[in-house]
Amino acid sequence: MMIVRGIKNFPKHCKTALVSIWRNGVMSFSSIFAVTITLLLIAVVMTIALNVNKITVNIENSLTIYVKVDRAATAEQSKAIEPQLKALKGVKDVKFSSKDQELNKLIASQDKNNKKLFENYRNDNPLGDAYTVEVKDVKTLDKVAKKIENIQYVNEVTYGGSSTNKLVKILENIRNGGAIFVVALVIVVLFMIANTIKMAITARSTEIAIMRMVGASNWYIRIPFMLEGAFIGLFGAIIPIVALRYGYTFAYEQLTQMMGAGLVAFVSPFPFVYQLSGILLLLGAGVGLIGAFFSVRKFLKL
Amino acid sequence: MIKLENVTKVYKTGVRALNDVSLDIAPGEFVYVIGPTGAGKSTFIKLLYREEVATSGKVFVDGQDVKKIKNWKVPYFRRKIGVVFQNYRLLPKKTVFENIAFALEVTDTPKVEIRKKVRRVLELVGLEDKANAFPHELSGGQQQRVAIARAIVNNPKVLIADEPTGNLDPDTSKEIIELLEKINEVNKTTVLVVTHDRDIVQKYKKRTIRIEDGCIKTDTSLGGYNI
Repeated sequence: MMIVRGIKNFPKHCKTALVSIWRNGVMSFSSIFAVTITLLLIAVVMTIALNVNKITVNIENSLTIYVKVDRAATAEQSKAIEPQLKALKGVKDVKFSSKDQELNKLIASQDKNNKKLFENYRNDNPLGDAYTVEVKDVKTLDKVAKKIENIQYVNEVTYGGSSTNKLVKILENIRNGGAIFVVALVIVVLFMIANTIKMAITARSTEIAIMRMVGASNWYIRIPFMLEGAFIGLFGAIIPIVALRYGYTFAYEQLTQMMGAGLVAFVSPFPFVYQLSGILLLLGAGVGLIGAFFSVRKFLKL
Repeated sequence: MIKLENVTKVYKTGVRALNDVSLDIAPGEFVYVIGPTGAGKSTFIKLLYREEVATSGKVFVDGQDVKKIKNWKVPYFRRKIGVVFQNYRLLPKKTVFENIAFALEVTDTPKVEIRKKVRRVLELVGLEDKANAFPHELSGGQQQRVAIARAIVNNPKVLIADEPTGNLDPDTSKEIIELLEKINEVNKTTVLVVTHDRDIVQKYKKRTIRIEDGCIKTDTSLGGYNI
């Protein structure tokens, strides 16, 4: 019965809410503006945080341990290292590269003049075989590297050393900091919407008193105010969404052109822009609903 | 219709507004509640429409123990009671018709019925021609009539008027009291009028309850202010 009545009255309540937003012009406008600013901030912070996250993951995935095998080792001895590497805890993948492949790589990385120079080494290859080891968790990079050093016929282990560890830590801090910032901003929006709605409601406390006097149920009084909060949130999300749609696409094109393809790849705009827009809409409307709910509650208490 | 049993109301501030009050008002009665300011008159009526709850003792309205009504059910209880205030409390942005219809809209009355009922009640209070006027376009007496119309449009069992003539001149006051009398006679509504107005209480003699210092000082069906 209550639900049926609620659905039947929904268009009426929506109309009441919209009319009320219109009649309380300045107040509504300031609420919408406040929501717009905060949602813009949230959009920016979330975009940055998500991009940092993507870059971090890219970098982390590219962090590997480079293992040089002793030149004195025979082919069998060299091959025997592979199962030992694979058996180590925390190792994800091991790739073998023979000394000829290593030389090819070296030559390929040189410029024209040097290429000829290095070609001379074809006959007497000074390089040894090598392994590239990927780890499951980059934080264990140094531990795994230390263990590899102890394996027989391993000549040299490189993994970037402590600077790599620092980088991993910094990236992680940025990610966590971004997440905390987003949560803090959401709370700020909640209070801002709740506060502006509270002001709007206080200005209409007589109206609420009269509604209560003539026997309007609490939900009948509450729903229009909650819808009003939701509409304010939705209207407040429009500008941030438009800004995100065009701003991010533009920024993405510019930055990608500047950076080129490589480690630093940004989150591509689609469907990212739509997903974030959805989040902003939900956030605005949800926060408006909840904020209004708590603001009206004060006036409905007996 | 209204029954109080040893009702005491002490506010959080420690003010003792009512002290061991017992009384009985039958259905269809017309009662004045008089007494000096701060004597407990307002507290008395607030207990009736459950704006306040008694500290001890029992309040019955239409056979219902008011204290036992759950908070969320209070609105439904209020539909049995019409309340009129000294300052009319009309919604300024709504027309006379909308103000009265408002009381029916919140109770989900169909539109056709709303129109019928509002027209009937406007006729009863004598404001048929003012349906589309806004409150600020009306005189005080007319605004009070609209407030009364709103209070009685859903046929409440009890009509409570808190200083209904407080802002009105003597002639208009008489008209308002005569209107309340008419409602009492025509609709058989129990009417409770809280007032300061000596002339009215003297002229329209009804049962009069005098409250002083939180107690019922006198309760007489002879009427008149000085009894």
